[in-house]
Amino acid sequence: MNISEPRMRRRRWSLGAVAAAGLLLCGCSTVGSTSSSPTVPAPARGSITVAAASSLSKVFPVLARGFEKVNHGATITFDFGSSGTLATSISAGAPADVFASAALSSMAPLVSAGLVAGRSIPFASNALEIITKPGNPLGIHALSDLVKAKVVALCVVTAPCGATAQAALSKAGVHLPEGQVTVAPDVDTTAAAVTTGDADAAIVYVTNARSETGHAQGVPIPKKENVVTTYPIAVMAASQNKSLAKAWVTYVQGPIGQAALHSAGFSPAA
Amino acid sequence: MRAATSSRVPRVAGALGLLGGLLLVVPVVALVARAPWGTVLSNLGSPAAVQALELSGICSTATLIISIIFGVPLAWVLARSTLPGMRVLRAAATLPMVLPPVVGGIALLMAFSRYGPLGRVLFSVFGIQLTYSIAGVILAETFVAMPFLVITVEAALGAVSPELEEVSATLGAGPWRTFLSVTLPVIGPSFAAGCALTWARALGEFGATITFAGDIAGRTQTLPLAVYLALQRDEGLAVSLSIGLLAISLAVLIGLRGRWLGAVRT
Repeated sequence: MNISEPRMRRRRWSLGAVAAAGLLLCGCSTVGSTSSSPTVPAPARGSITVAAASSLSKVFPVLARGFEKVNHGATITFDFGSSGTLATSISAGAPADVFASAALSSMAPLVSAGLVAGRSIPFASNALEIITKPGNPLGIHALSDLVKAKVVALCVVTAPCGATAQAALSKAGVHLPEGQVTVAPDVDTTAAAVTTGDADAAIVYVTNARSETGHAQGVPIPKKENVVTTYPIAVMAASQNKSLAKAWVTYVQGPIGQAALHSAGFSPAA
Repeated sequence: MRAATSSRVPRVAGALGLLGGLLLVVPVVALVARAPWGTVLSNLGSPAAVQALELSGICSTATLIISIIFGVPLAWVLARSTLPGMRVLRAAATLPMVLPPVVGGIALLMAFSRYGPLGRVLFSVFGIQLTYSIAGVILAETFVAMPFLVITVEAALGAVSPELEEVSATLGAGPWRTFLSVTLPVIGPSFAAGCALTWARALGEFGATITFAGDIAGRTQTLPLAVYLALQRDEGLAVSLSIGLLAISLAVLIGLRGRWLGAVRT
C-alpha cells in the first residue's frame, strides 16, 4: 500500500498532464465556441463571503478547505450566526455572496425582496435533539422530562432552532416556565450553555448532539414530536463574484458536499 | 480667554477634534431621532421591561455595595502597602477594565461553574449554583465594574497628604478611625465619582453577564440583555429600552459633573 502510493500519484499526475494538454488542444480547435461548452467550467477565483446558519459552523469550514484546494486562489470567508439575524443584516446591506439558512422562512424575505440571484435551493435538513450533561444525571429521556431540569437552554424564537424547538414543545404538550429557560442567540451558543455552562439541558439540532459527543449526551426526540427544518442556499444578487459563489453552491449540493453533510448528521433535503 | 485658547489649537487639530466629537454624538442623536416617541413610555412600562429594569437596578446596586465593601480596602492596600507584589496586584485589579467582558464571562465560568474548582465546592458543600442566578449576575457585574471604584479611590488616596493622616494618628486615632473620619471625607468627591462609574458600568454590563448567568427572563435578564433580545424581534421596543438606559446614563453623568464641580470648588 505504502509502496504503491507514490506510483499512483505519479500516474494521476501524468493523466492530469494529458488531460490538460487535451484541453489546450480543444481550446485551440474550438476558438469562438467556448461559451457553448458548459462541461468545462473556468476555475473559480477570488474571494467570497458565505453567511451561514451557525449549525453549519463545523461542516462548512472543512468543506471550504476542500473547495479552496480544487479552486486554486479562491478563498471563502464565513459569517456564522442565527439565520434570522443573518437575514436581517443581509437585508440591511451586510456583504454576503452566498446565504445558507437553517430555515426556508429566513430565506423567503430575501427572495421576495429581490436580494437573491436565481433560485434558493434546499440542500439539507436537520431535526431536533435534546442534549444533557454527560451521563444524563437528571434522567431526561423525552421533551416532557425537561421540566425536571433547573435550567433549559433554548434558541431565541427568531432563530430557526428556537422556532422549531417551540413547535416541538407544543407538539409534545410541554410547557416550560419562563424562569427555567435561558435564551441564547443561536444554536451553537445554546449548545455551549450545556457543554461549557451549567444549563442542565438544551434543545439543539441532531448535528450539534453529534459534534458535542463527549461534552454532552444526546437524547433523541421521537418523530411524532420532532420538527424538521430545511436548509436553503442561494447566491445573493449583490454578489461581486457570482461565478465563485455559484461554484460554492454547486460544491455544497454535489457529492462531496452531501457526503460531508451526511457524516455531520444532516439529512438530505426533503 | 476664549481667543487665547482657540489660537493655541491648530486648525487641523480643531477639524479632527470636531469630527471626533461628531463620531461620538451622531449615533446618540440618531437613536433619539429614531425613537418611536408615541410608544416609548408604554414600551418602558411593559411588564417585561419593568422586570428587566428592576433586576438591573437591584443587581447594579448590589454590585456597588459589594464593590465598596471589598474594593475600597483593595484600593487602600494598593495605595499604602509597601509589600512586594503590589504592582502585580494593581495590574490584576485593572485587567477586567480592558478585558473583553465575554472573556471575563468565560473566565468566571471556568472558576465558578458547577464544574469549576470554586463552583464545584460551592455546589457540593453549600448547594449554591452561581450560574443562571441573580447572584451570578451580581458576580459578573462586580468582576467588570469594581475596578472602576478601585482605580478611582486608589488615585485619590495617592493624592492625600500623608501629614493629615499622621496628625490624626498623633491625636490617638487608630488606622480605621483615621481612614473613615479623615481620609474618606477628603477623597469624598472621587469616591462618589468612582461609585457612580461603578454603578453605571454594572448597569450596562452585557458580555460577562450573558456568558456567565445566561438570559432568563425575570432572573438574569437585565436591561441590556432585554435590549439585545428585543432587537431581534421588535426594533421599536429595543430603541425604547435603549432610550431608558440613555436617560439613566445621562442622569449619572449630570450627577457626576455636579460632584466634580464641587470637588473643584473645595
